[in-house]
Order: sequence, then C-alpha cells, then structure tokens
Amino acid sequence: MKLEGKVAIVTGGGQGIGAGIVRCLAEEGADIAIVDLREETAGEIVKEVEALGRKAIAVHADATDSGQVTEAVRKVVDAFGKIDILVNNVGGGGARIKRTIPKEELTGLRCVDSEEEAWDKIMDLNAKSQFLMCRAVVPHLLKQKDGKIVNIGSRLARQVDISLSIYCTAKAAVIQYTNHLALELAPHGINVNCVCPGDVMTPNIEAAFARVAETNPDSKGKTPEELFLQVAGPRMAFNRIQTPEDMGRATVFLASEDARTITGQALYVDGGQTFL
Amino acid sequence: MSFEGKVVVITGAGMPNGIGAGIARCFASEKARVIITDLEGAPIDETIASIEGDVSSLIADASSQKAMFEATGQIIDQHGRIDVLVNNAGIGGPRPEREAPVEEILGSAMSDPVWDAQLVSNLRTTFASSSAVVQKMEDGGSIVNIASVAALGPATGLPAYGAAKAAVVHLTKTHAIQFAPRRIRVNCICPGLLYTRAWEMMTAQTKMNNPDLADVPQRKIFEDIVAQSTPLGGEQTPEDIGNLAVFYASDKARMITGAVVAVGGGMEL
Repeated sequence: MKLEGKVAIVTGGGQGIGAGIVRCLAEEGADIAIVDLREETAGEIVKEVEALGRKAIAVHADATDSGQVTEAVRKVVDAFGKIDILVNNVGGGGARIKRTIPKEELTGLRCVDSEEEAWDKIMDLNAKSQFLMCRAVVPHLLKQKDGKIVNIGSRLARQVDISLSIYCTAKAAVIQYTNHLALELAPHGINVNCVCPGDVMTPNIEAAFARVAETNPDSKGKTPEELFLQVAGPRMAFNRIQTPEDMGRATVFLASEDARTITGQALYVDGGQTFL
Repeated sequence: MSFEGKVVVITGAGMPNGIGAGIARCFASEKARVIITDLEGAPIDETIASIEGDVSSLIADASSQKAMFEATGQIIDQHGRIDVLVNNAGIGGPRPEREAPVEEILGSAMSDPVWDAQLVSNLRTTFASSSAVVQKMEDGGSIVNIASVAALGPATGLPAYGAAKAAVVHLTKTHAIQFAPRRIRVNCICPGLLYTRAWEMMTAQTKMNNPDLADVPQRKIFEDIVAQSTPLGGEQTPEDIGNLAVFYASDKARMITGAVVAVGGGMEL
C-alpha cells in the first residue's frame, strides 16, 4: 500500500469521478475526508471507505464559498489532526449554459452569447474552488513540509469545444494554477500536479444514457456501455469504457512517493482523446 | 502491480549507474522478466550482476531497425512474448556536440556528422526499436519513451540533443495514435538531472573550460547545478524514472496514451 497513514481531502468525493478517486486512495491505505454538498451520497462513499478498514468523514461544504471552505478544513484537521493530500475534484457545469438575454446579432456565436452569471458560476466551480481549498489547506501542508496536491483538470483544458467555451477556459486556468502553485510550493516539499480526464462513464452519465435508450428511438435497446462507446469511442484511441477509477489510479500515483520528484505536470488520462 | 509473466525490453541499459538500469531494477522488483540491450563494449554483465531478479541481456544497436528486428526475433524465440519496450538508449549532449566545428557562430558550432550522430542516437533509436518491437507485441503492450526536460524548452549549448529529444516527445504522440488499434500504449518521460555518464562527461568538460573550477570535484559542480535549477530540490534517481515507467506500463494506466510527464522536480517550470 502506497498511502498508509496519509490523510486525504477529496472535494466532490461523494459521487462521480471524485468517488472513484476516493476508492483508489482508500485502497492504498489513505484515510479520507470528503468535502461535498450532497450529504447523502457522500455518506454512502464514507461507508464504502470504512468497509475497507480506513477512517472516513463527510464534511458538508460548498467549495466555492470561502467561509464554508475554511470551516470544512478546520473540521478535517479536528478529526484527523493533519492533512497530507488534497484532491481538488469539484468542477463541472460544462454542459448547460442558459441564454436568457438573446442578442440577435450574436445568435449562434456561443463564446459571446452567454450570460455573465454563467461565466462566473463556471469559473467559480472549476477554478476558484481550487484556489479557496488550497488557501485553506496549504498552511497545514507547510507545517509538515510535505504534501501532495492533485488538481483535476480536463482534456478540455487543451482542446477546443466551442459549445463549452467557458468550461474549457476554466479548465485551462486549472493547468496554469497548478504550474504556479507547483513552483511556489516546491521549496516547501509540496508537489502539485494535475490529472486531466477525458470522457468518463460516471453513474450520472450511465443514468443519462439509460434514459436516452428509453426515449430515443435510434438508441432503443442499447446498453449505456454501447451508447458510451458510440459517443465517446470515436473520440478515443481505445474502444474502452473509461471509469472514475482510471482517474483514481493516476491520482494515487501522483499522490505517492513514487512521484516524489514530479511537480507541475498535467497527466492526461483520456485514452488518447486529446490527439484525435 | 505485479508484472509476473511479462517480458520487458529496455534499450541502452548497460551502464550500472544509468537510468536504464534503474528502470530495470523497478521492473525486476515487480517480478517482470527484464531484457536489457546495449552496444558492444558496454559493461552490461556488470549491470546485470547488480540487479536482483530475472534480468538478462542482448547486444543490439537500438538505432538499427535490422539489428532490432533480429533482437526482437531472438527475444520472442527465447521468451515467447514482449509486453513492454522502454526506449532508453541515447547519448548525452556535451562532448560530441562540441567536436569539429566548421565555424564558431554564437556557440552553436557543430559539424554535420556530429548533428547526425546526435539525431541517430537520441531519436532514430526510438523509431527503429519501436518499429521492430511493435510487430511482435501481439497481445497489446506498452512503449515508454525516455526523452529529457531538454525537450521542453530551449536547450542552450545542446541544440542537437534538445531537438532530438523534442522529436521523441512528438513521436510519442504519433505512435500513440498509430499503435492504438493494436492496443499498444505509448507514453513519454522527460527526466531532469541525474548523475549518470552524460553528466560525468559534461562536468569534466566544464572543468576543462573553466580553470577556476580546477580544484572543484565534478560531483560538486553537478550538485550546484541541481541546487540552482530544481525548485523541488535534489537530483532525480534512476528509480524516480523507473517508478513512472512501471506505472505507465501497468494496467493502472490502461487509459493513458500519448502522455508526456517531466520527472525533474519542476525544473522546466
């Protein structure tokens, strides 16, 4: 086991990619603090981690709210006495951008025809949340002159998808924040890296594909796996279902001593998607 | 993360203190069957004797497709399969790049033959060995290319070495897509500073060029460079490179292909 005796915070660890990261960290021996808005799902993952023989807590907090972040980190330190690993996984908001202020001349120009509020929300969720968490956690890592931060980016940090322009921009910010934090914290023995997922079959995506199979005549009778490969397959070099655990294993590697001289790196876990 | 029953080929791993030997130690400790290759004259027996586990050797020029086809055939005959190829073969930049300048122009003097030799040893090796070995990777596989942090930015004083290593990064991406239908993943490691033969040569040269450093041990010159250029502090060990190579080659990285990761303590930032 590579992470025995370590305490890891995973934001948004109660579901999706975050839950996969939590499982992989716990399998390698880490105790886990899930910082998440959804208490019910986070509670279920806590039970899974405890079943592995590790300690786990769920702390209810919005990672985009500095007051709640400060309070959440205090609770984690109260419970475990220290923090060794921070995984900034909270993110999203890529799919839906509301357009309530239609501007005739901007119709179809999706990079400029968005609400100001959408920009702020997506930036907050994907970029500011990482800044706020780091600001609260780094003092604890500095105390022990040791620590690992893994920020979750996206394949979209370096790919262009005009329908998701704000999300892509926010994820690119994650890469640059990772680089700067890595350089600044290096003299203090803290490694900062980034995992960039491609398309991942999370339970939410699986449920969405299941609904598609029920409602869309073209997809009738197809399994979520078949639909995932139909949609994401052509974008990947491998015709494989990419899972939250694929992200978890990369996160474990970067959080372990095996990666002790790796810092400021973006590791793309995307089945070669970024090149196609 | 056991590699039991897997066959791993590492090119240019004949030096006991080299990166290749460290990569071999990491795979051997995961129970892989390791075959290291190098040129005639490398202290390959000494290297094998220094590694615990199932390690054997083969003399083969990694820059020659013909030689690597033959080596691949021999390995398949003897071991039945190849699962992992680590393209580690290469030569350090310093001394050969300085030889026989036609005309000194802003420190970039280098004869055509020296340029060509650098490209052959540091770039063609990767192409030739991969081309030969992929033919026989019948059950999927993993290729790990060893580039350098010199690939990621200007390589002052080492133009041919830097260009060749940058090309290895690029070749990684091309091969990642090209070999994907055969379920072969291709990834790249950019090592930072390790006190291997290349740096022994480079520090010897530094001493020759700087009379002030005559009394300074080579190792001290290297350590000063590490201290100046590595934010995280400290040099890299061959095992630091080997650990990432093992991760890349394992099933834990089954969705990672075309990746480029520097193992250099943040020195390229």
